[in-house]
Amino acid sequence: MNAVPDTPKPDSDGAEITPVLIAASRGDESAWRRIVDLYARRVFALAQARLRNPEVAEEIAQSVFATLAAKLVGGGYTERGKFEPWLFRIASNRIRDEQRRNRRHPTTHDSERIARTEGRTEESSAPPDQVTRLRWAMGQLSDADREVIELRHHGQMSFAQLAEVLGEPLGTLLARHHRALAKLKGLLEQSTQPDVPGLRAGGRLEA
Amino acid sequence: MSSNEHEIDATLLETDAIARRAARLDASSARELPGNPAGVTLEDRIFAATKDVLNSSSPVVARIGPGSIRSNAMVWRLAAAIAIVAGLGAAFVSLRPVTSTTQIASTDGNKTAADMELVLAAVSLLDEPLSGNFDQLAEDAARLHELVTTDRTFSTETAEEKTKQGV
Repeated sequence: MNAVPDTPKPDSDGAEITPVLIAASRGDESAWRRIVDLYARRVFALAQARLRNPEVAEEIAQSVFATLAAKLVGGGYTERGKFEPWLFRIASNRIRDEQRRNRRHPTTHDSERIARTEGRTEESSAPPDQVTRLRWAMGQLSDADREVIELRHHGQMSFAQLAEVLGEPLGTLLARHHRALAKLKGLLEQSTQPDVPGLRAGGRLEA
Repeated sequence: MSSNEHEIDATLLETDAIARRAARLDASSARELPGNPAGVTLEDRIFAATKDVLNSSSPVVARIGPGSIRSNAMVWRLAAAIAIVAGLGAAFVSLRPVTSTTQIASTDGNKTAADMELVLAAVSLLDEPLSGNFDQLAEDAARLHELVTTDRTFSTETAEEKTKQGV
């Protein structure tokens, strides 16, 4: 870490992340463990939303944290209170790389993976068909619209952080998010109609 | 994330809530692997895979599970592809039809001398003034034709024939 701000800044979980980052950059394993505990699952969730494969999502998360550790100890990160946007920018880039690779070398059918993971939806308070339909609807959105919604919910980022990650003014970002949600709502309504391409009756995704 | 930092259109709140629930589901879909030496939870495994990077003064390659296997598989596939292309190239080079080489000059001294005589005869024939002697010209042409179309060379002509030709 090259520079340390005068006062520690709270991060999204309310904790003061800056001292933790400083300690981790000095090789403190307990501080590093805290960073992993705070952010690993959020990075994983973002990757899982896009790639629909828990193994690959975990691999991506590991890769992101390996990069993070190397940059922290190697001075590749300058603390300016923007740790989360920086972390999720790394994660988003890594996920995009994986998606590009998948397009070049497709392996397992995505919807097979989704169908496999649908068995877990009973854990949710939401009706399974609703979440399944949401995933179908997310799949119909453009990459840009999906990114906003996924970074917002899977990355648990504030709009200000989202604007930072995506390099857009806050107002533009808010408008984008609103439009993306409106499209998603329309698609969810469409998904309740019978014979929606890509959805079976009962809200199951077609393999 | 502070959920109330910006107002979301009331008609979109439900969609927003569904998206949030889906996100929680995705977060909870990380594998629990009891008995796994690398760690039971996602956080355990990521910590175990990356803590060495933190304590290293030189760059360390993190131990990343399935990825390393996949990377190795890709490297092997690439190596196999290169080997196949190289093999096919070598096979093509060795099996392609070889064009016969034309012998530009004979190494046979007698043959070379005979050829030279033939050339000289042709030159002398063309060099002679015609002088209206068409019979002589026809005879010379026939002789030259005979030399060209048979194995017989100028040097094998009989002395009588040479005398007759005034050579």
